[in-house]
Amino acid sequence: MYFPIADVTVNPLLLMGVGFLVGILGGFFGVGGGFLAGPMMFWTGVPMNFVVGTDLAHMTGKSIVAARRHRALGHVDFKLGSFMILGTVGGVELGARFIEVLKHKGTLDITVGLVYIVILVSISAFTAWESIRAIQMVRTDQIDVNDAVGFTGISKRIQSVKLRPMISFPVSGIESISIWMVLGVGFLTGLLAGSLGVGGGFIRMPLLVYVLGIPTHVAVGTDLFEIVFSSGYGTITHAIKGNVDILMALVMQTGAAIGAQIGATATRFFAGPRIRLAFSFLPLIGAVLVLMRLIGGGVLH
Amino acid sequence: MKRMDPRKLLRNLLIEVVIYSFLIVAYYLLVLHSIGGWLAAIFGSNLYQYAFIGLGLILAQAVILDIVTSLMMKYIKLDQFGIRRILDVFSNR
Repeated sequence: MYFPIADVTVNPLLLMGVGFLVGILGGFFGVGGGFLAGPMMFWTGVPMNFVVGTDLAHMTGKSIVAARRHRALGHVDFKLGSFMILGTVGGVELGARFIEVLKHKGTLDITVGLVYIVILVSISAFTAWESIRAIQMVRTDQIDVNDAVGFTGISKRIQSVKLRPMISFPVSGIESISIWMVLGVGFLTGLLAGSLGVGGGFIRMPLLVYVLGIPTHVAVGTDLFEIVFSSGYGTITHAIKGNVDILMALVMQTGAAIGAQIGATATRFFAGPRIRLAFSFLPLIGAVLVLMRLIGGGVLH
Repeated sequence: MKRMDPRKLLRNLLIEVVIYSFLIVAYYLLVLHSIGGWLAAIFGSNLYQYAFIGLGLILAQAVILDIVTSLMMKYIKLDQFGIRRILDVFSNR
C-alpha cells in the first residue's frame, strides 16, 4: 500500500502485525512498544522523521486504551503521573526541535539510529541483570515476589535527597521525595520521546522502579497514563512539523487493539521480576533491526 | 475453576483472532483505504488542521476498537474460554 504523506510503500499487514506485537507489549509491560515499533518501521523503509512522529501517533491511541484498563485495576498513581507530565512536555518539545535540527543537517538517520542502538542494548543488559538478581532474592530470602527489586540502593538514596519542595505519593508507597527528581525523570523520558519517537516507557519503567522506587505494577499503569500525554503532545508537535503519517498510524493501531487486550490480561498472571526478565531481551530485537537498516541503507559501511 | 484441554483453549484463541481479523480487513477496505487521499490533501494545505484531525482520528479509532474487542469477548463469551482461560491454565502449571 502506498502512503502518500510519508511517500513510501509498505505492506499494511506488516504494519498491523507490528501494531499487534507492540499492543501486547503495551498492555503487558506498561511500555508503549515504541522501542520496537520504531526500529521495525525504520527497517521497512519508512523515513526516520516519519518513524518518530508516526510511532508517537500510533502509541497515543493504544496507550489510552491500555491506561484505562490499568486504571480499572487501580494501578495508576495519578498524582505521580501528573507531576511527571509537567517535566515530560518540556522534554518532548526539546526532543522534537532536536529532530528538526538533525533533519536539516542531513544526519538524522545515523544519529537517531546509533542513539537507539546504545540505549536499547544498555536497557536490555541492565534489566536482565537486575531481574535475575531479584528472582534469586525471592528464592534465597523468601521475600514476596511483588516486592523483589534487585537494585534498591539508588531509590533509597534518591528518596533521601532533601531538595525542596518535597512531596509524597501514597499510592506508590513513597512518603517523601524531592519534586525535582520526579520532574527530572519526566523531562528525561520526554526528551527521548520527542527525539526517538518512543513513548519513553522502556526508559521510564526502569527509572520509576529503580530510581524512584515505585512498585512494578503501579509503575506499569502510571507509565501508560504518562505515555497518553507525552505521545499525544508529541503527535501534535511532530504533525505540525510534517513528521506524522496518520494513515500509517491508524493501520498499525488496528493490530494494537487486540494485542492490548491480550497484554493487559496477562499482567494478572505474572509477578514483578519475571515481567522485567521477559522484557529484558526485547530491546535487543529493536537494536538489531536498526543496525540492519543502517547497514542495508548504506548509512553505515 | 474447571480446567480445559490446552488444545481447546488455543483453538478458541484462534477463533478470537480470526473473527477480529475479518472485522479489521473489512474496516481497512471500507474506511482506511479510502481516506488516504483526503488526509494527504489536508497535510498539503494546513498542518495545524492535519495535526488535530489526526489526533482526533487516532483517539476515536482507539476507543471504537477497544469497544469492539471488548464486546466481542463479552457477548460471544469468548473471554471465558479464550485468552483468559489459556493464561489460567498455563499460569497454574
